[in-house]
Amino acid sequence: MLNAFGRFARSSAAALLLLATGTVAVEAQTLDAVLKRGKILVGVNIASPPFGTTDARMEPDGYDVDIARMLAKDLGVQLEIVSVTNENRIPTLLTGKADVIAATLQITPERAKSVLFTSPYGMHQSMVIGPPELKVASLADLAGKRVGVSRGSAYANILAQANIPGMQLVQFADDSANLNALVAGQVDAAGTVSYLAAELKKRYPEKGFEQKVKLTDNVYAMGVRRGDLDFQRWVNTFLFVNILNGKIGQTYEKWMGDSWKTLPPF
Amino acid sequence: MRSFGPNEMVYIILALRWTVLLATCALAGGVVFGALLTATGLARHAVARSGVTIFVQFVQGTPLLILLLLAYFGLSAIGLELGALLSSALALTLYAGAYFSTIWRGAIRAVGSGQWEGATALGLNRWLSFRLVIFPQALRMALAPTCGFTVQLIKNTSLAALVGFVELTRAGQIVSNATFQPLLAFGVVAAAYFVMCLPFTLLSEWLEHRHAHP
Repeated sequence: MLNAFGRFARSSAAALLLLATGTVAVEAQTLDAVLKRGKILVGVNIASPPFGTTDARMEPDGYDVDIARMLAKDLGVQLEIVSVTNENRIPTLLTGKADVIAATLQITPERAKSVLFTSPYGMHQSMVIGPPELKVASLADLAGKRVGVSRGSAYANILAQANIPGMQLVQFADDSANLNALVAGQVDAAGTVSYLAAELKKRYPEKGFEQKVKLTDNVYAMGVRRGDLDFQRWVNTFLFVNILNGKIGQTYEKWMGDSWKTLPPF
Repeated sequence: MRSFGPNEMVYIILALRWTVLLATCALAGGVVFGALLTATGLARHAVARSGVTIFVQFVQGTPLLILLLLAYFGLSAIGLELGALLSSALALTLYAGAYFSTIWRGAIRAVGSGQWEGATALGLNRWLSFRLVIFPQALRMALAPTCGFTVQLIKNTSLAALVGFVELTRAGQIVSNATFQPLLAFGVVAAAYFVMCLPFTLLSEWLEHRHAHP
């Protein structure tokens, strides 16, 4: 028993250490491994429409899922969608539970320390929205306000690092909770992204929610493990070809209800 | 974006099977592991006893969420690849085992030492004393808290949603995000947990009542 406990304690400590430092052993030959396996594991957050959601038969669907389908088709392998959350998408990739993550992953220098970004495959704007009576014209005006965000999102980080005195950042588990808190008046304003702000306007026209402050352009990409350059090159090639032939643009327009714009070079 | 309809309802109800499976695995694993810990914890061997104590303290002093994350990410980091279901079941087994063993050891200790002495005086050995004299009395005391903890265990399977395992709670999150109607989605989820836990709550109450008035 003591032995078993010792083993458990040792492996727990080792695991904690690995998680803390993020120095998980990287399997460098992901491309070969995927081809040999005949199946690619793509991490998608299926609770994050329109990127990942479920269709009428409650099967995974959405922009990220469509991209994953095209990716698997071009690679000539089967697709397995690995369900991830915003918090665990990077650990899921780093521990090898997914070969690549397509999970609303905005490109940031901070994240680039732990994942290797592919070329981008879409962009939108992040912003702070609120009711018409809220007088906010710049980030500084958010002082003393309660601002909701979806935990783990890029705009949550921007707001947290903005150092606005007296602003209370309220972290919600997901977009639905965040925006419903705004509708219910539990927060004064909410950070969100353009397509969700548009959806909210459609749902609650009487509330008159409007954009208060634009935060940034969110350009998102897939992520592979650091050092996995060979596989990253393949994913980039896939993106290059399918952006050029218009397939990715069509899929984007189908899901985002917005016209495809040429992405900035990355 | 859709609104909450029959499909969404069915999706949540169907996700119930994963919660039931996870709870069943955790309960079965926890009972076996808990019995093992209880037996070791009552052994004459001092090192074995303190080993159990350290383990139980470790598990009880660690949030279940951390155990789940350790089992899911930690084990795969050291090369042991378990899926979301298996690793969650493993973490919940360790968790349930530690708590069950505390409940059961307490129940066995609560049977007075006079009972052991009496059994020995009748010429019974240690195992027979336990089986024929101590166990039936301890069982009566342990049943109600065991049922009570089972209810907690069922509800705590919801934490597996955090490693992306699509059980009842995660299904509710997915539907809530697809429909933007969290009240309805989580209302159905809450009702499902309630229906699942109610029999155990009633059983626990009934056992407690029966114990109070033998």
